Formats: sequence, structure tokens, C-alpha cells
Amino acid sequence: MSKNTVLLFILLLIVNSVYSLNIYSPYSEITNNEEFYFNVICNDYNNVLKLEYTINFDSTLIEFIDNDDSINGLQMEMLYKDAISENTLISPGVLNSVISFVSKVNSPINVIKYRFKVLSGALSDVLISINNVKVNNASNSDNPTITYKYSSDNIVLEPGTDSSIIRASDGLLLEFNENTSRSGVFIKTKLTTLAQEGISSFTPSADSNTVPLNKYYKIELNGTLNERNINLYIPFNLSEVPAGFTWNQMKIYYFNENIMKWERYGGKALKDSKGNYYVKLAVEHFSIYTIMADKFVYSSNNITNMKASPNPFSPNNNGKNDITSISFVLKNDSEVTIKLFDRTGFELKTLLFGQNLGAGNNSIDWDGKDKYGNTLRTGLYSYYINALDKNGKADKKTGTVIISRNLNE
Amino acid sequence: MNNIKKSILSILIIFTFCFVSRAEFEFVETSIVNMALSGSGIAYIKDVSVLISNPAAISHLKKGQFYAVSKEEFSIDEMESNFISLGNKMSNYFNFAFSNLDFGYTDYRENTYIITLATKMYDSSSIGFNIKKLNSRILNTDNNSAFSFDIAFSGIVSNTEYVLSIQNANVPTVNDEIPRSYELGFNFNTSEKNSTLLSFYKVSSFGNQKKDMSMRIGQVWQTGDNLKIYAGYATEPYKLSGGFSLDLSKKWTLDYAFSSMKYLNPTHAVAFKMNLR
Repeated sequence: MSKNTVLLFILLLIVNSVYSLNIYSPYSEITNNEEFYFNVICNDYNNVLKLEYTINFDSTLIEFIDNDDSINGLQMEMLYKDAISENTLISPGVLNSVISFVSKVNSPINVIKYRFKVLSGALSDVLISINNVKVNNASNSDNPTITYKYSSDNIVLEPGTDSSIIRASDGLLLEFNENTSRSGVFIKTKLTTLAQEGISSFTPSADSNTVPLNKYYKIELNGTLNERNINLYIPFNLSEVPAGFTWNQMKIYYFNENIMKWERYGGKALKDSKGNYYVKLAVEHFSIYTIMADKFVYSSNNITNMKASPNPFSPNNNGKNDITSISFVLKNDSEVTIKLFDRTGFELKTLLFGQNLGAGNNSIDWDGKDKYGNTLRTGLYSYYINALDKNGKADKKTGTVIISRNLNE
Repeated sequence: MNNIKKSILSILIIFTFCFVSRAEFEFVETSIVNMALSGSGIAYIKDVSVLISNPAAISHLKKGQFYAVSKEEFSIDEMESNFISLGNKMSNYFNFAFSNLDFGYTDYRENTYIITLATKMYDSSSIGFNIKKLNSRILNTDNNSAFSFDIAFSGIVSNTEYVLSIQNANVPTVNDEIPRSYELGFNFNTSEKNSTLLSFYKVSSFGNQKKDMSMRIGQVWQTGDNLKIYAGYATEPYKLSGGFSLDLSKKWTLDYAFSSMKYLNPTHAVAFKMNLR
């Protein structure tokens, strides 16, 4: 091979790798009347100040969701903060996007999030493609596409690399913390009924006289999560809260197929900044879930099933095992304090201080940093959890977690 | 010749225990008396138990001494430490000790072999060295090891004993850099039976982490011929401690200590010390 051929080959490689535009979405199967999203990602770009492209889609199947009705045009969520976008529907099924960056972009970035809704009459797969790409006003050959498989009831999630909250069936939210634990994992969710699942009646095993809200979510997992938790958010409306109860008494129950009864899983009722109500719970296994009002308080409080996962973890910013989750089960709703110490008992950080957490599974992430933001070195560290319930009953437990910055991963 | 035989026997005994015990690198208190004094007692204790903080302490040994302790920091199973040491007079000039310190559990293990040499110098002063082999075994991590050196100098000025100690003087690297630490301790002999103790401990900055200096204060009361009572207080981290030493016979001494902190469970420990004939 001559020198010129090698140089030409290298030049071709460089030219091919300079520009690429990609689409990322955590969904592989979608269904009607639900909201989904995809992100546009810039890879390997150099000195980009302006991006322009059209998004082609079937307007009889989906419609894009405006993030802000008060502003003209379709407002999308900018993931890269130092940029603005203009999004205009130039014809049915053709959305034109112009993205201007405040300063030149030279590294891979998540640029923008497009939210869309599948229309009620859509009964086929949805194809979205990006065309007519221009980078700094120069034409580019990129045209990434994504195809969503249509499903009459399921939504299938394939979580990606980012920590994120992903909306699934009927307002159900799933929060993922880290990519490393869910490579190849598929999560299927759907809103279901007792009859569809072959369950004849609602029989709770815990002490409660209330009735469920008749909203049942089936969540199935294909793959393993390496013991990492997913936070589940089940939505409810204030009008659904039974008389005699308050909204913060809503709890999550799951169907235990071994005893064919509904068991109290717990969770913490919360209200987000937009006024939406949810019950939040860290889950490790998947089943059929529902929520119900529940005043039950155990006579004694305790902390069980405490562990850190992954353990060891390696906060070295390589994208793998950078964060550990400290998980535990509370018997009652409690004010929880979590502190971290080195082996000599020196206090390194307060992860939680007197925070209200719900009964059931809970977890909190630790990035291996102390209170000053410094990453700690390899070693054995201890954590302390104190839980105080409404009756003044307290429990405290200690555990250990290993930092190994040279972890084989 | 007799001493050489004893030393060889000592090494063999220590190795036997090492196979069933484990290890450490950040400071782990091995002396139960020093633990009872919240770490303030390095200028007061003159036996093998304190050799990690003050290798010069063994220069005062007149006969062989055997010491063993096992404890769980803050009553946490995974933070178990085991220390075993055998010291002896090697010649008219040098005293010698061989020790093993083990810290951790199945997934995280640190093991330190320590050879200590100490000698008395002029004007009641002493100097001592530790040569340490640090071994680390962490789950899903390659095993690592390094050599480390400690040095300490002790003496008396105006009826006040002092010790200056530098631990991990060569700043070894195992998985990460092991920081150098400095300790300066004083023993104010207020009376024959009572001692007031003070020490300062500082870990040098490593990477982007800084630790404030720890100040420790301790008091020793001797009640009768066989019993000593200890109390201590330390800052950074804050702790209160106490304990006692009971001479069971001329040969055996029992030490007990507790250490209490604000959030973590207290640590309790018992050690036996045997003076060899």
C-alpha cells in the first residue's frame, strides 16, 4: 500500500468520523395515547455553532408535544443548556429544527429532547427520520432514523446511558440511576385489570380495611439489574384518595403470586412542582402493583435489608460503577438520617438529614465524594442510618461500603 | 544464642497466627491502653502494643513480651481488626518485635507484617523503626502490596516524656497513596501514680483530601499495685474513652477499653499481654 493510499484512507476515516448525528430513545415498543421522547445527540462534531435539520414523521400516528404553550412555535427541552432552538412545523409530518449554540461545540453532547404522543387511532409502527442536515450551514449526509414497534397495550423500555426518569404507561414513572447495571435490560409496562391478570379479587395480606384505587400496573423485567434499584412512581389524583384518608397515606401494594395476596410494599407519597401526585418506591423485583390508602403503623420501627450495591464501587468517572446505592427497608414512614464515616469514625458526609421517607424499600445514591466534593480514595467506609417514626420509635443501623478505584470492570 | 532461638520461635508463632488473621493501612489502634486514652498515650505506653504509633516504645523491654488483641471498630463485623505481636531483647543494644495486623473481612482485607527495631540512646532517649509490608485484597480488584517505614524518637525533658513519630514516612502506594502521618505525644508525670497525657495527630494531605489535626488528652490513675484506670478525650473525630489495666500476675495483664462517638456504636475491646520470663 503506497503512502498516498494510507493518507487517503486516514483522511477518509477522519472525514467520516467528524460529523454524526444520532437519535436516542429509551423506548422500543409504544402504544396509543401515551407520551414518549427521543433525544438528538451530536457525536464527534468540531466547532459547531449551528445545526439545522428536518424531522420527518407520520402525522397520522404521532404529534409532537409543546413544552411551553405561552411561547410561539413548538418549544422543546434543550438538554445542552448553552443553545437555543427554533422548531417549526413546515408541513404535516415535517418539523424543521434550527439549533444555535452560544459557543463552539467540540465534544459529544445530548442536544435536545423531543416529546411526542402516539395518537389514539395509530395502529402501526412509527418511523421517525432526520433529514436535510446542515452543520454550520454546510450540508451533511447524516440521516439517523428510529422505529418504534406498535403495541396495543405494552410499553417496552430499553434504558440508555443517562440517569433519567422515564414515563411509561398512564403516567407511571421509572427512575434509573446508572447505566452499568442495566445493559440489555428490557422493562415492559402496561396498565391492566384484575380480570386481565386472572386475579379474582383483591385480598390484602397486610392490615388494612381500605380498597385499592383500581389502577393496576404490570411491570415485567427481561434481564438483570445487578441488584440496583429502580424508583417507581405510581401516579394518583387527589379525587382518588378515599374519604377519611390524606394523600400522604397512599401506599404501594404488590401482588405476591406465592400466597396469591396483595402485600404492602410501602412507599412515600409526594407532590411534584407541577402539582402531580405520586407514590415513590425503590423496587428490586417486578410484579403487578397498585396503590391504596393505608393508615397502618407497625408498633415497632426498624430498618432491615440494608446494603450497598454495587460494592465495591469505583468513583473514577469511567461510567462504570461510579455510584453506589445504599438501600434499606423501613417498617414505618420515618424521618431518616444517613451519614458516612471513614474507618476512624471521622464524619465524611451527611447524605440525608431528617428526611421523610416512606415505609418499604428506599435507596439513596452516593458518588464516593465527601462533603467538600472530593472523591475519596480506596478504602472501607461505614454508613449510619437512623430512622425515627411518627410514634417516636427509632432504629439505627450501620453498614460498610468499599471504594476501589482500581476495580476490574 | 538463647535470644536468637527465642526470636526464631517468635517469628514462627507469629506466622502461624498470620495465616488465620488479616490486615490494614489507615491507622488502626492496636493498643487497648491507648484506645482507653483516646490515642493520647504514645509517650506513656512502653510495650509492644503501641509499636505502630511508637516503634521506640519497645526499647524499654527488658524481657520478652507477647500481646494479642481482636476488636470490631464501632461493633461493625466488617471492621474487625486482629493484632498480634511478640517482642524481645535482641542484644544489649537492640530490641526487636515481629507483629501482624489484620483489618477487614472477606471482601476487603488489609494485612500488615511489621518488623520493629528500637534502641536506647543517650540521656534516656530512644529511637525505633518499623518496616512494614502492606498487603491489600479487595473484591474484584488486583491484589496489591508495598513496603512502608515508620520512625519514632522519644526522650525526657524536665520530667516530661515526649515522643515524635512519623508513620508511613515513605508515602507508599498500594491501591492509592497511603498518606504520611505525624504524632507528637507528651506524658506529664504529675505524680508517681498519676499521669496526664497529651498528643497531637495529623495526617498529611493526600490528593485533594485534608484532615484537621486531632488533639487527644488522657489521664491515668493508679489505684493499688495492680489496677490502673484510664480516661481520654479526642477531637477530629470527637470521642470519649475509658478503660483499665489489671495485672493478673507478674506474667499476665488484662486490658479493657471502650471508645464512644456521637453516631457510631461504641467500640469495646479486651487484650491480654504476657511478659515472658
